[in-house]
Amino acid sequence: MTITYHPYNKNESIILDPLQRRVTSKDVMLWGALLILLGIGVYAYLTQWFSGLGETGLGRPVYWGLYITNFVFFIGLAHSGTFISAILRLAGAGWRKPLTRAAEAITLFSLPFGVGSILIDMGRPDRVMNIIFYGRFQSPLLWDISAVSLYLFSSIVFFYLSLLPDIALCRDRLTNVPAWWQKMYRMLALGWTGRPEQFERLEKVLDGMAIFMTLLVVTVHTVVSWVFGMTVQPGWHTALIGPFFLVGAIFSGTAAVVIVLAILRKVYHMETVLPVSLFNYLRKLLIVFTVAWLYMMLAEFLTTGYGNLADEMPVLWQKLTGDFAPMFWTMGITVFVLPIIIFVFLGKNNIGWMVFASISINIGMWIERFLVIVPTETRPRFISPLMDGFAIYHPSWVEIAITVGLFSGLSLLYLTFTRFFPIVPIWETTEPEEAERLTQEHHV
Amino acid sequence: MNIGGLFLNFVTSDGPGGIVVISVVVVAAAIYSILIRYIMRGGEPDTRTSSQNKKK
Repeated sequence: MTITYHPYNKNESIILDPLQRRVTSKDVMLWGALLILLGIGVYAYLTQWFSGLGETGLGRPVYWGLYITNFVFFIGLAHSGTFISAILRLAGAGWRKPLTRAAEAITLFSLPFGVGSILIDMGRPDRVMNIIFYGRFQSPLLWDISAVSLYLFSSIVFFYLSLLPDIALCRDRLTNVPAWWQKMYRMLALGWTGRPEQFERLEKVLDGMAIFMTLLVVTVHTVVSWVFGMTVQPGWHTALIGPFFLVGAIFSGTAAVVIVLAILRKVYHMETVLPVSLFNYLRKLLIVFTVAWLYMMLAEFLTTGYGNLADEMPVLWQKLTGDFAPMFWTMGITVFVLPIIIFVFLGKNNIGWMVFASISINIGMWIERFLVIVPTETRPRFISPLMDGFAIYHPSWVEIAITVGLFSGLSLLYLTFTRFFPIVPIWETTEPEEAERLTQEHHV
Repeated sequence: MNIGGLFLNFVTSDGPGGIVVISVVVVAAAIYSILIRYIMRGGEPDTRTSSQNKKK
């Protein structure tokens, strides 16, 4: 007989409730809708697989369109978990505890879709092995694949370790679930007993990993930006591109956390576990990020504008007054103007407004990624005279359907996860004085 | 012997880049498995004898 210890948490039943909820007709409809959208994305990809990249709007010189926009966006979203969990952990921000898992789950589920976007863009995904067989050290693509692989792997371990005590709790508490479900908990719990020394070791490892994850989060998005920055293309070849990408990633990731938390709070009735004060903390962070993003934007555009270099200016003017101006100014409104007004004047203690601003930020940040990538490709440095008149890009239905499919797949994965595992960490949200008191349970 | 040239040749030729990707993932896997075992060992019942505990 093994004795298992679990810290007492007064909200345990509320947090475990989604795992025991009966499947309602609304759930079935939502899952069905997401599956249909995912199916359309799969169909579109199969169309591209059999007919080639000619099915897309990509061509010379616009090689990267929606797919690479999605790649950068998903990798950016993935930074939310690491930021909330690792960086705020190191900063000793105790308020982050209830939302760490929801944020880490965004990281975990966004990354495969980011990586998948590259494979989709390749047309011939089997050629990704060329990086392994023929990769050169001086290729940013090699740095990219190394950093993203390590980030994905480390995120899985970091997420799993912080989930471990709660998996053991599910193993011991949820005895009325189907046998395969119980078996899954038993396997994943790895025989966790919850002894104080085990918790101490877990905390120690998570603290150490938090430092490493913080370094990784900076590395990964900087390296992602270098895929662009190490070329000599106008708009990309700037030392600012790394920090710019990093700020944007943490910004959109944190906004995504607000959206997800608000949905979880509403759907799973977690008002007591996810109080309004949590959203207010995130609001303050988002105000800082909004201003930081504007600072980066101004620094970038002013430097380019004052330089007045022949190759740089067509790209800049395209964004400010040309083909991409409607998108550019929409981005300015959705990423800066609306959010800053909402966060400063309307968002305090108002989750609805905060969610509205966060959705606005994420729409704007997706547009921002698109505007970093596509305008430069339509006016590249070396072949612009030859390509004049041809450098246009309109995404095809295949690209749009795959994009929708990717977002549906991400939502579906997240939704499924919340039905199997506690989305709020139970062991981490125990009241300090109550944590001392361990409840004992016999587990055979 | 032109060591600089050798190094340059190594980093600019096809192939060795794959070593980086594989090494990074394998080393990470090894470290993480050690860490997980370290945590799980903390859950084992204390097997020390009472005399060993006294010494401590």
